[in-house]
Amino acid sequence: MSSILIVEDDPVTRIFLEALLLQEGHQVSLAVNGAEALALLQMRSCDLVLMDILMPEMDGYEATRRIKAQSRHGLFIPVIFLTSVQTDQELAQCLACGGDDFLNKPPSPILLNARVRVWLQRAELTNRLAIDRADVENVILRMRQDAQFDPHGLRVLMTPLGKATGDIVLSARRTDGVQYLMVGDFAGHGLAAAICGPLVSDLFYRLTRQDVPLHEVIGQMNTLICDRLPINMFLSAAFLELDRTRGAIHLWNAAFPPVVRIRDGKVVDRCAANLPLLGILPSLDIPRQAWGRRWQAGDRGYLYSDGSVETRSEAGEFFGVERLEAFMEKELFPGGELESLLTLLTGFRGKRNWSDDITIVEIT
Amino acid sequence: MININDSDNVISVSLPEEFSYRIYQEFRGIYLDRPVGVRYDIDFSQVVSMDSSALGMLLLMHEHCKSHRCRIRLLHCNSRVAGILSYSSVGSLFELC
Repeated sequence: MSSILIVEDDPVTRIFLEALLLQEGHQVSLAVNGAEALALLQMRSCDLVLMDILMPEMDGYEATRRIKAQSRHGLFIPVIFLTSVQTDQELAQCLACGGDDFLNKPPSPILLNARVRVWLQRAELTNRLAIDRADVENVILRMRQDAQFDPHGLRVLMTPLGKATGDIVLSARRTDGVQYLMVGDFAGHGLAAAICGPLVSDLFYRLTRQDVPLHEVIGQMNTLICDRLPINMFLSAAFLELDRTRGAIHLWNAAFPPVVRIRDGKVVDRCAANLPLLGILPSLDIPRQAWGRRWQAGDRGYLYSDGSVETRSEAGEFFGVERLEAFMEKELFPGGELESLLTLLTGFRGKRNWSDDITIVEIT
Repeated sequence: MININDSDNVISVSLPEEFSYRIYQEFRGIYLDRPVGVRYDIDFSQVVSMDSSALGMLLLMHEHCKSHRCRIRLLHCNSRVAGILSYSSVGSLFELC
């Protein structure tokens, strides 16, 4: 049994609608204007609203706007307008304020029941999907809460578009103190990409604990993704090995944006991609040494996914590598916050929406 | 969006400017329910941008075609597209013409 709220100031129409809906077995509540409807919904939610437009105190447009604003993070409640107005502009306004459909007044019983049935089904489906999604997100969040992440020498900025992200940051130290850092980005967005994270994370931490050389970790990760995930789920990632005692840094870059090293406020080198994407070619030979340099105290390394450089302005221009590197050189030196990148990007994109997760990691 | 031209055993596909997740369903529709042994000529001449989902879509198609004994040729890749295909290693699975 569904509960339907009728918002209508005219008693004759109200009684007519109520009788029709009761006959169909729905539970019906009544309000005589928008304000009363909102008050009723505060106390008890409903599955669908039938909304008149012109009413004293608060009209149907305003009431709908508020109902939709209140339920934005919660349930989807369809609002069907009942209208005697006939201009296209007014009908368009019914949809613009958040309404889902409209019916001419007085509606024929057949048409009213048909519309109500369709919208109730749609709402049920939408709400069930939202609940499923929230459940899966919680599962992923839980799987991601690994106490094993070692923040030693790191600053991390990660802003997923939703709760679930395809970006991944892993860090751990071998028993001899050498640190492994991986920053990666699974193909695609959302849940499917996010669910891949825990799979590779388990492998990374297990092998690091066993002091397995990093190139072998990468090789096993490639095999794992090939074996366990569908072909369109693959990983681009940079892997960094830092031995602070011996002053050495090694990098493997699997189709990830260049890793940048900064010394005294200047970019001194970049490690561009030297490996293909992981998870596509089952027999991939990972070289023991890929890119190696001397590391000095005070050096800073930056690993970032492409979300920041691919942020676009309203004119369509990319934020780009040069702006990002200028930010690393000037703003982050000395002691600037990684978070200020978000301010910069927000200013740059103007009214455009975020299109990708933003991840940047600094290692010192 | 995607332009498809069938003739005999060759299916010519012309991709739009933006090859991305936006055409995911449409792209799948190209090769599902086709007979075995056909050849696909995928024309990249219009493609300006291509994201990681696009690579994923090509890989799914490749997997499907392997089991259906179909050939895939990628035609007219500009330098940007060719670059993406090569550094990702996805290109090595296809005939590039």
